[in-house]
Amino acid sequence: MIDDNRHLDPALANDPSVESLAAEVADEFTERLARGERPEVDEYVRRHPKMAGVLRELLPALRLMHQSGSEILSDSEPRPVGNVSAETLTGCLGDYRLLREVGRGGMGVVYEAEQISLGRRVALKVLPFAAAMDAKQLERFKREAQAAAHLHHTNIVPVYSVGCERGVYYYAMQFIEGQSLADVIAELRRLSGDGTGDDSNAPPLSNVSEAVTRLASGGTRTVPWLQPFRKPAEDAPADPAADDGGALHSPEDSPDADAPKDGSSATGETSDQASGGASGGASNGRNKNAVASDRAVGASADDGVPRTGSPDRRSPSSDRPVSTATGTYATLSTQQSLHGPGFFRSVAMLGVQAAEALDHAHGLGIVHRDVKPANLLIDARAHLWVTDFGLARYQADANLTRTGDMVGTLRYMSPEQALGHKAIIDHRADIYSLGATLYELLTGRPVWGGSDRRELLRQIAFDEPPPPRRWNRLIPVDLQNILLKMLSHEPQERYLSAGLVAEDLRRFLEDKPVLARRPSLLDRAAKWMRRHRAAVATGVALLVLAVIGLAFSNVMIAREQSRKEGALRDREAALLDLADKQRLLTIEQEQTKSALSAAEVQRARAEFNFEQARAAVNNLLVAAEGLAKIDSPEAQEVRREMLETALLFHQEFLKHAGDDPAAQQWIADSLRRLAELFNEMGAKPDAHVAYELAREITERLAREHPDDPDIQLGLLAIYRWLGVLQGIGEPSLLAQESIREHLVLSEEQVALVDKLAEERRNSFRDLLPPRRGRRDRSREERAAAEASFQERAREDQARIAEILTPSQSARLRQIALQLQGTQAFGSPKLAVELGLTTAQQRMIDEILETAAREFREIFRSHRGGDQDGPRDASARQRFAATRESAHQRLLGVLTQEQNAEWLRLLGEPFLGELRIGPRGRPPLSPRGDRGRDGDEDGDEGGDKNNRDDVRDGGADGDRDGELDSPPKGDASARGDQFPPRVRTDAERSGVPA
Amino acid sequence: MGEAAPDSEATRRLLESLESGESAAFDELFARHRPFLRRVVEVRLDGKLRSRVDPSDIVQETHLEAYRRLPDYLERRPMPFRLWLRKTACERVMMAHRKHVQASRRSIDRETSLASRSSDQLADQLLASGISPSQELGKSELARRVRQSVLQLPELDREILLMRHFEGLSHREAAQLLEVEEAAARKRYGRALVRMSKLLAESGLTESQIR
Repeated sequence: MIDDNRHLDPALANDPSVESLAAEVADEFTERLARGERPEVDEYVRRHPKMAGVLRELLPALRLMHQSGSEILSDSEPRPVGNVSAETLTGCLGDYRLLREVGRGGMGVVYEAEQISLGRRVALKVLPFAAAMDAKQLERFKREAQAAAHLHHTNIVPVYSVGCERGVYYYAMQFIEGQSLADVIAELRRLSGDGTGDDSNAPPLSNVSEAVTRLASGGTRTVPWLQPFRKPAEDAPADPAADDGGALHSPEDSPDADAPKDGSSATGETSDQASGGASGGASNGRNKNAVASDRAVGASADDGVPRTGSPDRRSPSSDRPVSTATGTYATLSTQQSLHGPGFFRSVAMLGVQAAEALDHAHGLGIVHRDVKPANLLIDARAHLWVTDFGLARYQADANLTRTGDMVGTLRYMSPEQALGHKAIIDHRADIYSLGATLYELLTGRPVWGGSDRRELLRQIAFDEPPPPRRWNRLIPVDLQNILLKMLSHEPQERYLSAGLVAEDLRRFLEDKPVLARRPSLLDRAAKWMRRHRAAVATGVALLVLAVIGLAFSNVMIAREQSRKEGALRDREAALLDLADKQRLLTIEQEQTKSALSAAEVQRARAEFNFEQARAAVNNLLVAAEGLAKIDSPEAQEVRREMLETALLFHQEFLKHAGDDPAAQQWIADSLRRLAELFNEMGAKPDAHVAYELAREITERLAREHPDDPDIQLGLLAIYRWLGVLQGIGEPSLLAQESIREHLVLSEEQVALVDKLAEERRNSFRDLLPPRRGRRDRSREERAAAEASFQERAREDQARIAEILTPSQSARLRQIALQLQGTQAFGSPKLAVELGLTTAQQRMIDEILETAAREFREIFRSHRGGDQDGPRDASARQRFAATRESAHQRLLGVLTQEQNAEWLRLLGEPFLGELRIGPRGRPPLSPRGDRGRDGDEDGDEGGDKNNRDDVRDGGADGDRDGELDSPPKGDASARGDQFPPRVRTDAERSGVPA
Repeated sequence: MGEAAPDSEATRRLLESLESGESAAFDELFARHRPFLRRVVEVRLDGKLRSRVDPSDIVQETHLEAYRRLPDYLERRPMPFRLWLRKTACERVMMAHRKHVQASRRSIDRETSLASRSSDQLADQLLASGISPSQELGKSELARRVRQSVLQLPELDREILLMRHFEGLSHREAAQLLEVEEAAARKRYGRALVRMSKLLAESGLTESQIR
């Protein structure tokens, strides 16, 4: 009867038992499907292992046949997902009468429908994926869908009900007369003709006029909402579309101001403009009347509002002749208006609305998970609506749509979603996706251009989003920064909340500085290194280094340029040569080149890069600090490498810093911070190198700017640290003119000391390994460097001891100890000298440790910007109080005799002659009685802290006389005195013993 | 699938009402079977024809035709009501084929015919059966392969698969229609399944591939 056996495996085809078993299994499987169960293929495979092959093929097919019914047979061609299908659902679904299909997507089919009982028009979304969910998933879906349905926000499409009617799950939502951002982007792309470039998907330019004609003839409803785009920013900077029909108003407008408008809008359809205005940029300020009126309009809309084609008479342009609309398109068709400030602002305004909607949902714990152009609707009044909250997860759960539409969704997916880090998906995924959406709206290009899943995943995982300005130089930098921050690869680098996105976009709209900083080259390089850690080759550091140098040299060029135009040419040549090596960062090259063409622009840009360099190094150091917490040798290796990289950066900075004092000072401060980090991890030679570099810079600065207190303070901190590093630090101190005078060195001694200093400078340079290969040093080599460093330090001390008389040496030691402050307690040598018991040492360590922690804590809680230390009075007070308490506790540990010995070791305070301090007055004082005060905040905060340091140091000076008796009472309050009381020279000058 | 046993209790009761003269019962009776008929029609309209003929129209014709022949059926009761309706529908499909093959000279504009479909019966059918009304199952690849495999099956195999899986007929009903014993129908069904799995395998489909 059947002889067509072509396709059959003979063994199977002729085995009746297989056939009857297949029938049996299929019957059961089908029956269970019919009962609404979700039978698992695996279950049957397990039960009938002999049939595994057959069942694995057959059962999924049967399931699909069950789910899709006869439709599956109806096409001779595979049906593209998301396109018009052969079937249209009509008729009734529960209380809803379906009117027409308005859209399709991976998530379902949307129908325009009428809710029969209420006579209102709704959008009904049928969710096919629900059919493939098991009972538990369905339960969860229903629960969460209901939660999402409870979102009430002016920018979220209200969900009227979630229901299941005869096995079909659906959402009934407010019907939004408008189009999705996906449509808009497509239209704009056609209009602009800008997307042609390397985007093969973009239509050819010749289509533009055709599209304009079609649009102008009423082919879409794009007209009204696009109009705000035309509003140039200069008309009304904070409220660019205030007098436009569908005006979006500025966020400062008070709700009170809205109220009358809303009131009027409730009276009839024609006053939509008012509610449109209220709904624009400030949905926060919009009151409930507005929402109500909105819905009322929606509810009454089904009676006469045209569905397609004809202009929407509820649109804000109702009072405007149609020709205006046509004119709009004529204008829009030119590159200018699509790329003009009005357009950018419109994008930002839409972004504000979307971000606020998301923020609201996030606040209620609902993550959208599928923010993309297709899910953002725009109505005729440029009001944005977010739809489909919380559905994405179920679609994924149902394990459908892994093919076609996946790519469309992937394009907007955050890295953590796309790369499958399911556990950490939170609201920041939405922020990313919104960023990707706005990016595409702004530039007409998707962030990631990859055309297939694999390429997209690769891009998402490893690439940085191209800056929007690459596509359009007119895009404001601030707007670009906001988008790039939203698109950060790491969730923690994005905005903390969608609300902050909205805020920053508003700042942009109000022409205020935005919080988002453009990720600098170093940021990006650092990120790149993080991501490619395994692959980081030595070359990368060099590359990054050169780039930073480039950024730095821009500053210097700009500054020099303002002084001397002629010098530019050489620098430019050098710069371009350098830039040429940076294939990785072609944009920067372009920017640099074009920047060179205009002096003023260049200067602005260069300053910007300087800021970037600062922020970048700061980030690197913060990252290194973060690694310090990870207790693994690998992490410490990476940390050390990062610090070494940073050290190299600074050396590069130095080359480019020229004689700009601000740049130099920053480098010195940053070097000190770096040195402290090295020191903390026990890399003394590296710390020493950093400190010596910092000292070199600071000493030069101190010579050139003798009255600058910051410089003097910086120098003081460096000396102090060098002292600690070197045991007692005499060599550094001897470089000070004032110390030489104080010790009354002979000319011969001075010459010897200078010679030693010169040798030392060379010797520490020797410690600095050749740049290439530095990071390759092994542990053994590092240990060797450490040993040789200590060896040299000992040598230095021995040499100094030879040069100086014993009394000079003793006095030098006293001064060094004074400068070291309480830190000296940490040195083993002092412990021996004071005869500290082990118990005492432990207590001292504990006190120092606690103080250090407290200082860090204070610093962190007051950390304002990048390098800023605690500046406000309360922070200073806390510092002083902490210091004072540490000080008292330390003294409390010492016995009477030890205390006396300590004071003897400190000797007479060395005060006047160093001339370090504000305005040349000498606040410097021995600090042996204090906690690890200044050094600690110096560690943490860099330059600014030192001001506090020495202010308090000055107060310490007051207290020197009290050292014999324990300090009493309100010492901490006095620690805050500024300027410090200054003693007379006679009072304070120490005399060499 | 939606309807289970032939001539359920409700159907029998409605038939009784009909016999006792309540002609209004017929509409209800037919409505109960409309989704089923819809499926029967759908799987038998080939792609080209579907672009011109709406399955709903044929179901509608079936409705009228069945109503016309109802007295005859009630008198003879040659088969369960549901199968009788199916037979009527199949006849209408064949007539539609004939008619349109003759008219095939006329150009067929698929686009417009798609858009102009007007019946609301599809919705009823889909909704009543619990089948997703959407094509958007996203399994276009799987769908394509299933479709191919079904179409490649020898006709008898295909017919019994259609009966079982698209029309929702039981083995007994299928046997009745094929005029064989139920056991034979079951055997044929098993053979068709194995052949289909083979075809699916050849087209490269496995469960793992869709995951």
